[in-house]
Amino acid sequence: MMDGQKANAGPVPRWLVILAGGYLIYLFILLGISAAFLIPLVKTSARTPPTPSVTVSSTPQILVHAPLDKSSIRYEDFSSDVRDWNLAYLRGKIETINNRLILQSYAHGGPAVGQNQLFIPAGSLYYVQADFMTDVDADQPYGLVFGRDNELDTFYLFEILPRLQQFAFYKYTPGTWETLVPFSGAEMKPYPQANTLSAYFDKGQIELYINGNRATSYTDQRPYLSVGVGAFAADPSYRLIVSDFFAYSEK
Amino acid sequence: MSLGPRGRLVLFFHGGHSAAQPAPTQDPFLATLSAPTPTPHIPSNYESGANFIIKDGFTNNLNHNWYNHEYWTELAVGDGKLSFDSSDQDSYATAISTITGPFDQPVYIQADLSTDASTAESYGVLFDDHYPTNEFFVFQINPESKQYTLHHHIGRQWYLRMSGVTDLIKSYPAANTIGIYMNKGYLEFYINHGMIDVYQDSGSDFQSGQTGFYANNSGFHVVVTNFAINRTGAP
Repeated sequence: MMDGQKANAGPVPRWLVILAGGYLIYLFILLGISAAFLIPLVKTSARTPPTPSVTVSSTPQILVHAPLDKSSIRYEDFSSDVRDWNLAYLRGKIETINNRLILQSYAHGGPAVGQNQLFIPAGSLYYVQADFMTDVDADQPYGLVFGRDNELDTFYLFEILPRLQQFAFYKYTPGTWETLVPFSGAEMKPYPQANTLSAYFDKGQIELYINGNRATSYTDQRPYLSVGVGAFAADPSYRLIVSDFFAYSEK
Repeated sequence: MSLGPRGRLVLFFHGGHSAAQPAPTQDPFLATLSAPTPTPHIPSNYESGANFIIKDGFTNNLNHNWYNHEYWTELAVGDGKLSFDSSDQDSYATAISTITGPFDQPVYIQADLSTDASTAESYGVLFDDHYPTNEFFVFQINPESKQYTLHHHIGRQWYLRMSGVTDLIKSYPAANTIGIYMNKGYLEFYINHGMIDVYQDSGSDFQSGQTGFYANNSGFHVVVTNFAINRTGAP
């Protein structure tokens, strides 16, 4: 007969009732033991100051290949003036505004290079890193210059184009651009955020980094051994802003 | 020296339907960056009036108001003009005023410069000169190439800070009026009463040294007339 009640499966066996009761008693004991341990801990933590929240440091620092000897690191924050920084070529401007180096090209369709030939002493191993951003959402690349020889007018250029999330690597001799790594994809920050570009050079073994992540590596069989560093603005459509420069070298 | 040409990168943007990315936080510095071409502090019809620090009619140099650092510089003052040249090939020449900064407020330096012969060399105004360290800035024009440059000289080294081209520079034999507005670490450059560029170096005080004139080589005299340094009042 259907009366709306569940169909009775019959009486619960006694052994099952005893087993369930024992299990409940076991859980109760376990809870008591846990409480005995946890309550003192809670009281202790209440007496100590709260754990300080983690501070995200915005202090610029070397992201990769930090040297053992920290004293060899040369750091430029552009807080004073540009004394040793200058334009490598005509048609442009290099200045400092509120602790930033500003590089601008005046050459129609042409680049500007800001350089410092004396930033670090000569060495067969060196590392250079800088933070770059632009004043507008640039549709032309910008980049890091290293291995610069002012007399021979030669250098390496590691450039990025955040709009397209692309980078490339060049070697410049007067009048000639040699593409060492053609434009390739890599993760980088879009405008108006800064991107940190780094180059690690060890006797022609070159590693390139974007925001601390390796973008590519390259072995130059005929490497440039000068250690001049700089910044590269591809054309006059934007102002390149450099907030800091790190570098060190080893013999 | 110029950088060899390199192919320009042409961007191709794909029209997609992906959701817009949230705008990243903008660096506050960008808001402090002035427009690429700021409003000039000196109007094109500027007249110095009576608020000058120095206004030299160049009648004579009996008080030794003008001197030079280099023994190869020939300097003459009289008949309403200052004239100087380098007698040593491939050496520059200067003529320096004894009036020195720091000035207590923004100033505007202006003078008419010409040469006694056609030349492919540059010449211009020298400022923030500190003789003990042989450190100074030079703003030069080249009437032949229409090019202007700003150099910083430190010790025996030259550092190029700014370089451009403007049609405001008149060719020989016309005189060119060169003006420089200075407010501590900020400069505006004028040629023939038009502002052609600005320059900023927050860590410097361009008003702290002496002022004068500069010839980049031998073979011609630089002739200066109507020289004045004026207070311009509040920045």
